[in-house]
Parts: sequence; C-alpha cells; structure tokens
Amino acid sequence: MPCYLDEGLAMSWHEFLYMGGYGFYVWSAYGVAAVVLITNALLPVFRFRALRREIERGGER
Amino acid sequence: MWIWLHRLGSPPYFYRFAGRLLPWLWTACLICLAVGLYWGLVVAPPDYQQGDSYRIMFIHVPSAWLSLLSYVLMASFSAAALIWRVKVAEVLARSIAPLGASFTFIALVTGSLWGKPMWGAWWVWDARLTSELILLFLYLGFIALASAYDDPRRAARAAGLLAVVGVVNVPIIHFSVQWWNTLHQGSTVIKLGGPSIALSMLLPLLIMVVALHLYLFAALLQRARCELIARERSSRWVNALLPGRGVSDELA
Repeated sequence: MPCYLDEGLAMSWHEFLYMGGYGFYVWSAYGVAAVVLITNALLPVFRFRALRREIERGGER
Repeated sequence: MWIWLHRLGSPPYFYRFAGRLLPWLWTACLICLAVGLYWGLVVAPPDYQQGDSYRIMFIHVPSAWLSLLSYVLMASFSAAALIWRVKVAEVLARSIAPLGASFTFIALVTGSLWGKPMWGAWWVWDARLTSELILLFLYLGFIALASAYDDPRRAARAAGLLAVVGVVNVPIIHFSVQWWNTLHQGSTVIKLGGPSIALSMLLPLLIMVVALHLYLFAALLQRARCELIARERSSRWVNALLPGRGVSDELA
C-alpha cells in the first residue's frame, strides 16, 4: 500500500487500520454504511425470486 | 422528451427500460466506489486539525446530500402521482422511501461517530442534527402510511400528501447551519467563491458523491421493478414475461 510518498514511507496494514487513533470511529462508520447499503441492494434480488416463484405457480394473491 | 416521459409511465416499458439500464449503473457505481474509497481512505493526506477522523466525511457528506435529494425526488414522484395518477410514479415514490431513510440513517450514524472524537459528544440537539432526525421520521412516516392501506392507490395518495407537505423540512436542513448557531460546521463545498477544501480531499469526495448517486439510482430502479411486478402480478404483461411464453429471460 503506497502512501505518504512525500515522506518516503509506505503505509503498513496496521497503520491503515489504526487511522491515526481514530480507527474505531472511521471503521464503524464505514461498516454501518456498508451493511445498510449492501442489504438495500440485495433485498430486491430475494424478493424478485420469491415473486417469480409465486407467479410461476400461477398464483394470484 | 414528453413523449418519452409518457412512455416511461407505462409499466411494461419502464420495466424493460430499467432492466437494460441496471447493469451499466451497477458497474459504474462499483468502479466509482472502488476509486473513491481507495483515494479517500489510502491516498488522501490526513487533515491537519482532525487527523484521520475526517475520512468519515467521504461517506457522511454524500449520504447527507442524498438523504435530501431522495426526499425531493420522493416528493416529486408523489406530486406526479397525485396530479396525474401515474402508477409508475407511485411505485417510484414507494421505492425511494427506504433508500432515503437508509441514507438519512447513515448520515446520522456516521455523523455521530465523527462527532464523538471531534465534539466529545455522540449527539447534540443542534439545528442541523435535529432537522435531519426529523427527516428520518418523515421517511418512516411515509413508509408506515404507504403500507397502512390494503389498496395500494389509496396508500400512495395518503403517503404522497405527507411527502409533499414534509418537503418544507428540506430547505430548513440545508440552511440550518446559516440560520442558527450550530455546532455542525457550515458548508465547505457549495459556497460563494468556490469550495474551501483542499483539492486532494475534494476530488475523492466528489467521486464518492458520484458513486452514491449511481447507487441510489440503481437501487431505486431495482426496487421499483420489483414493486411493479408485485403490483401487476396478475396482469397480462407480467405473465408474458414467464419462461416459455415468448420473452423467456425477462423476469429476472
């Protein structure tokens, strides 16, 4: 992971996760966002499958 | 333009159009997300005052903007549905509500996670935060009303009225940092005289803004297609999408 090239340092994984001491806040924020956004993207896919099965059975409500 | 809009109002046409657009939207969204996250979390330098905690901005700011855009869109779809009785507009309003609520929720939670290390508090009853919380309740109220009736058209009308009335909250949120003395900082991107934020932070922010816009439209179309099929399940055009009846792979 190349970063801070001006300082001639390559950033390590530890540094990346540590986030200058704010790791907990930064990663929680991105974690919550990821869970919400991925759930929102996947829900219609499952609903579609269920609807398709229902319609194929020729079922009306 | 008007003819095309008119055709989009027809459920089968909308369904097919959205289906063709979706793969492109998702691809573009994932590319922007990858670039924006790498740039924002790895390449961009730490802030001289806030250190690395400011990186929450790359998800917080786009989410907050989109929470407002989603609301304006929801109110516009609702108005179109109330005035012209377009079924697709009802479906779009109903489909964007949970997405808008999600963005509002993300904006509030990430803001809280940013506020704790910077302000020393998870939450303050500040004008910006309070009006954004009211926005979340407006979304939840819309969702509750939209699912409170058995008849989807009556539900759409009741919820649509709430959406249109609630739009007054949008300018309140936007201008809250100017009208009141708030702890929340003012705008650094949209202001007279250009943005007061370093280019190395502004560019990844703009890419994340684009990425989440693409996400909103992709997720909206996906949800709306689902909702259309659910509402029109006994109609002829939906049944014609079934395998072995001509257009084989369309119901996917």
